[in-house]
Amino acid sequence: MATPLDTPIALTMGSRYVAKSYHRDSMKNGRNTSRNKSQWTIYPVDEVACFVDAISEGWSDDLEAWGLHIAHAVPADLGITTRDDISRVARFRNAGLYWSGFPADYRNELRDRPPTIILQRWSQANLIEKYEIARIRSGRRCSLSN
Amino acid sequence: MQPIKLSIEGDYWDSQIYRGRLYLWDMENVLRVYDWDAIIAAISSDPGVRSTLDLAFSRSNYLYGYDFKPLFAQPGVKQSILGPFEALSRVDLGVTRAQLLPFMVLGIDNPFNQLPDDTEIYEKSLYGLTRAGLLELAVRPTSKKVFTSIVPLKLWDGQAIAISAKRRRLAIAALSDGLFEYGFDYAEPENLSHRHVDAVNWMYSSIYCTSRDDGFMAAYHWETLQPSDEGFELTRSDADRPQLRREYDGIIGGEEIFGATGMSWGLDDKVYRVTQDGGLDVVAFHQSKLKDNPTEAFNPLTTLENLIDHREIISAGSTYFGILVEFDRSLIVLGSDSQNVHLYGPVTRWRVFPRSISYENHLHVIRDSCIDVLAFFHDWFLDQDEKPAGIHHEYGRKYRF
Repeated sequence: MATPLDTPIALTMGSRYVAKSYHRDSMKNGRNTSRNKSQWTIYPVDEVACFVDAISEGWSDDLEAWGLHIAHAVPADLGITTRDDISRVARFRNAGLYWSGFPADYRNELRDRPPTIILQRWSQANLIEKYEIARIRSGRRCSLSN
Repeated sequence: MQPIKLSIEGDYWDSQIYRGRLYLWDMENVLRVYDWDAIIAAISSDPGVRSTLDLAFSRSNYLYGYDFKPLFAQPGVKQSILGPFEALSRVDLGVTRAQLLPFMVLGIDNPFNQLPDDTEIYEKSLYGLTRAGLLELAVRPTSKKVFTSIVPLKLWDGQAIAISAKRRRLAIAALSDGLFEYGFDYAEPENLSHRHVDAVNWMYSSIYCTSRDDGFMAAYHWETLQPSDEGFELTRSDADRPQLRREYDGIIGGEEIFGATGMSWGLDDKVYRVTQDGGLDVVAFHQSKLKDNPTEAFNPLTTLENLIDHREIISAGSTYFGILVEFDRSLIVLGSDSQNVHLYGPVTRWRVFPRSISYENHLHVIRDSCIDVLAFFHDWFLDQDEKPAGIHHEYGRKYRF
């Protein structure tokens, strides 16, 4: 069954998640035509799986979670930013009644940078290198962007 | 000319060096402060080697030696002085964790709580940028306590990625939030520009902002106050010194400076731009001309050809001994003597200390399992007016507030 957009989905872990259509409706010819909404390039079902993994792996606190779309043991593309950069990190926010998320633009938006403690966990899990922790926190290019 | 390299074993995140002490944050979120001069003194018992290491790692300003110029001009003197430095540059110097331990002055849980995104030590204060904001700790340079208190003072709630201090101001880079400046007055930092900013450096009273978009300068000049001007203090004890007020001149885009866009950065007297074919445009900056004739404030010096792959640059900067360009898996020093030093392998963080007097020749490079402290010595005997890259070293230079 297809994952519905803009509709809360009850997850087995007790949370509810909404896949927002406005993070999907502006892709034209592989480019993001929206100036303020990054766009997912993975299927909604994978977006939800990305969130579930983020919560189950402990890449979260009460208000935010940070996700990766792992393919062949490395973070893979999951979206396009408003500057048409590739994004390989997702940011999820707890809106109270439900969570929702979007491809993060850590090279431009300060609050789209995952906290250092989360990045250290990714490094310990061999998902990123130590030097990439500093690059992400500094908004520099690394394996989670282009 | 290759630098002298000292590798210190450990899993580090950031470093600072200030008044004889080395500050190291590790990945376990512990801050340790070490007696740097004692570490250097313990490397060798040979008096000659100790003296060379002391000059290289703890007294970088000494051999600029403006007072000794006639002596240095004598045949063979420079070569005789540089010989021991060159010999040590061919030796692998290392300090293990166990060897480091006796020199620890302080070891505490990181007082900033989170690993800082950037740090700066300036006028006896240690500043740290974290997700919680801009934090300050008062430093006691000669005390074993190191800090007046280990509870930091929060100066600002905002997030940012980099800070740079000068003239009792902190320039703050905040990606798409732009450029901020904190005035050491406990007021909210001022948002000087909403343009994207990756890094900030001072060019005298102005600030140069590096950006993935076109770089730019927030231009300022110093205005001499007259007794009739607002803000003039009639009762100052240093009445013989002119009273100055910093005046804003506006934003000057990189394209206005270079005639083209491209990654650019600047520090003090020079600004640099990477060209599409991997060269480097070098433009001299004359702060004194900025107010009355801005077009003459920027004077093209040279283009260094075919140096780098502009598509792969991660970050860049400059200091006295040259220009630094970080790539995905290497760091290159384009030396002020036109010799390049390649440091291979990815870098967690690199730092230079151009505001320092004793450590202006240092390059700190944090790797996966060590920090390399490199001491460059080629700039001491160069003609400072002629060198194509790096900050002009001034006669009688003192600690620049």
